[in-house]
Amino acid sequence: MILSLEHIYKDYVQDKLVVPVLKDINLSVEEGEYVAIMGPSGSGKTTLMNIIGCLDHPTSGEYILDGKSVLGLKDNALSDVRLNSIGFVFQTFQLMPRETALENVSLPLSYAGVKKSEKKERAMKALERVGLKERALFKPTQLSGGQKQRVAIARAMINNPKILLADEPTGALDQKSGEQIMKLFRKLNEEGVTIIMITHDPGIAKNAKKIYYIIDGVISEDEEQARTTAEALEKESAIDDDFLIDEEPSEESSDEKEVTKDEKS
Amino acid sequence: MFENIRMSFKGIWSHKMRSFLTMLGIIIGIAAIIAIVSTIKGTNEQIKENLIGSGNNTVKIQLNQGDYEYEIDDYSGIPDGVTQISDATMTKIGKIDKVVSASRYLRRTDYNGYVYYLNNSLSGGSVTGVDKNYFETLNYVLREGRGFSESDYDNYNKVAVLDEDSVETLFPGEDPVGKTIEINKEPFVVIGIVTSGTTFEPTITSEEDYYTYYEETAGNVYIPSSDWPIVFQFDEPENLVIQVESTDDMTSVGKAAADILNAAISPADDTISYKAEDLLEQAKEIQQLSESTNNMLIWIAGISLLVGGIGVMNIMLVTVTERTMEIGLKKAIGAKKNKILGQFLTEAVVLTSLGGIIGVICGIALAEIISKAADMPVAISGPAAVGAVAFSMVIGIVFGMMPSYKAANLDPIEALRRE
Repeated sequence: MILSLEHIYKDYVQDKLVVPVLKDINLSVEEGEYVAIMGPSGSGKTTLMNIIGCLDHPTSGEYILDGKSVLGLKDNALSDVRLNSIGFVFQTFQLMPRETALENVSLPLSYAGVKKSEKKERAMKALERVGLKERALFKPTQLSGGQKQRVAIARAMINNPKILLADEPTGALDQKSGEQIMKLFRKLNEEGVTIIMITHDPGIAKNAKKIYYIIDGVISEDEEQARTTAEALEKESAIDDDFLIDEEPSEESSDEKEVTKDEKS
Repeated sequence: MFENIRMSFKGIWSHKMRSFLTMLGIIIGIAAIIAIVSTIKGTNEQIKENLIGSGNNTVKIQLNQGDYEYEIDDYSGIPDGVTQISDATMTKIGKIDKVVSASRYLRRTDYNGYVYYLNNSLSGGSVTGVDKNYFETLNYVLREGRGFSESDYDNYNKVAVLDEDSVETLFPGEDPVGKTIEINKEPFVVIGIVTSGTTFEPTITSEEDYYTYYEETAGNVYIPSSDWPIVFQFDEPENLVIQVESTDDMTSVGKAAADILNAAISPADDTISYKAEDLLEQAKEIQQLSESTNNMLIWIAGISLLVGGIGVMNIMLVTVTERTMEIGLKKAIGAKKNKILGQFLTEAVVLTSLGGIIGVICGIALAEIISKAADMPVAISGPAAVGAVAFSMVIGIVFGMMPSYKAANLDPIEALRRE
């Protein structure tokens, strides 16, 4: 098992109101699996991805990544986990606009303290892996959307992480480019990379070998079951009406945006 | 580190106008400081040159009473317990490290009208009885006629050598060589004219300067020291002049020689002692005066640097906000806090250092313009230029710290979400 989430809860506090986003998430992913997490906007899938990506802390629960609990780790240790164990692919590519494809790809290597000569060589190899060797010296503005996403994938893969985390990787692409990306994912998965992909598009999700559904913060392999559990929990919480809490909203002050953003996407 | 610097230049270059305007505060501050420091240094070097004379390196050790030179005239006689400087003492002084040559001399200031040529008096000038080394020690060269010979000393020949100032006072428009002058009622034949080897004129730009350098412009009449008792008295105390290897040795050699001289005398009046006329010290005192006023100007320029630093901080905060997404991404892919901190700090330091370097160049140009326009001496100081650039780096660190810290502590989720 490469990662396992056990009883993960995540609450956001908004105007002294506790908004539960993730409810008792149990998820384990085997090494080499290709998993899609599907769900509508506002279902909590981005929050889940942030927790899996060690960018966010759950309110409670346990998260074992590659045999180690990561929840108690300090900032710098978490940075190392992200650097070495997880590759990120974002919907909007997130490339440095002023840097060439090669420089973009080699960015994580500078955080890993890799020597300059080796950096270039490895970045070149990574670009070759995604079929963009010829575009190494192009800047993002000179690349198409699909090419940009492939550069981003090359960057995510450069430290040979075990897990590739993709958040709506085809969301900003036309269908043809999207298919190319999916083909690339399949290839990477065949090479042994564990892929966790988050999407709201069933057409994209079916590329994965296993699909989880997340509805209102409840996850299940069965879409129907997720929905009924979520509805049951909703009724239950409606009974204990007020969610007023004592503590001040501090770290989670911006959580309102989290929900609204998901609604948009 | 190198990578950070490269990225900083890229970032600065992509906002040329903004970066330049941000640097302007630093540029103006540094340029002002460099210009002021250069002017101070120029003035100081001129003061030093005026007082010491360039390349002369001579230090006088005079018999002092309290803080003033002990002057013998018709009213105050020879102080008790002060003997003339013996040959043995001279040998000791010659052995002091860095001494090139040393010479004994006797001097009286002509307040009383000792020296006349016809009706011209050398009032305010002085009569100096010199030994055979004197002109050599002071680097004086013969301009006309001859100097003192062995036989002049041995035969008590009543001969005199004039310097250029006394020629001007006593012989306006006349050739003095061969003429007879009167020194304390004794006739002396002028045999030569000496002039300072290094042609040096103090630059006098104000009345204060005139009084400061007055002594340099008064006339002198030299006679062989063996003739001294003919015109004045036997056993008058002697003074000493020493030529040293370099200007910086003047103070130490002067003190050492004064100690030797004081050991040889036992004055009844204990305020009487030999003291080195420390020109270096005097120069420093005058320099300090000019420096204290200019230090005020440096403070004012410092305020400009402070304002410039705040400008840098402001722009860095804008940059951090603009690049929130980039920061979020970098943190997501594994950049540690201190990497982000380092990146933005480097950018701030590159920005201010660049401003500092441009400021130094502008400051040097400004100093040159001042020296041309206001006819002021200017000396560019290398250490000040290096210091200014280093200081601008420090400004970058100080004022870049807050924005960089902000960047380093951005929440990556937050940062990635912003578009």
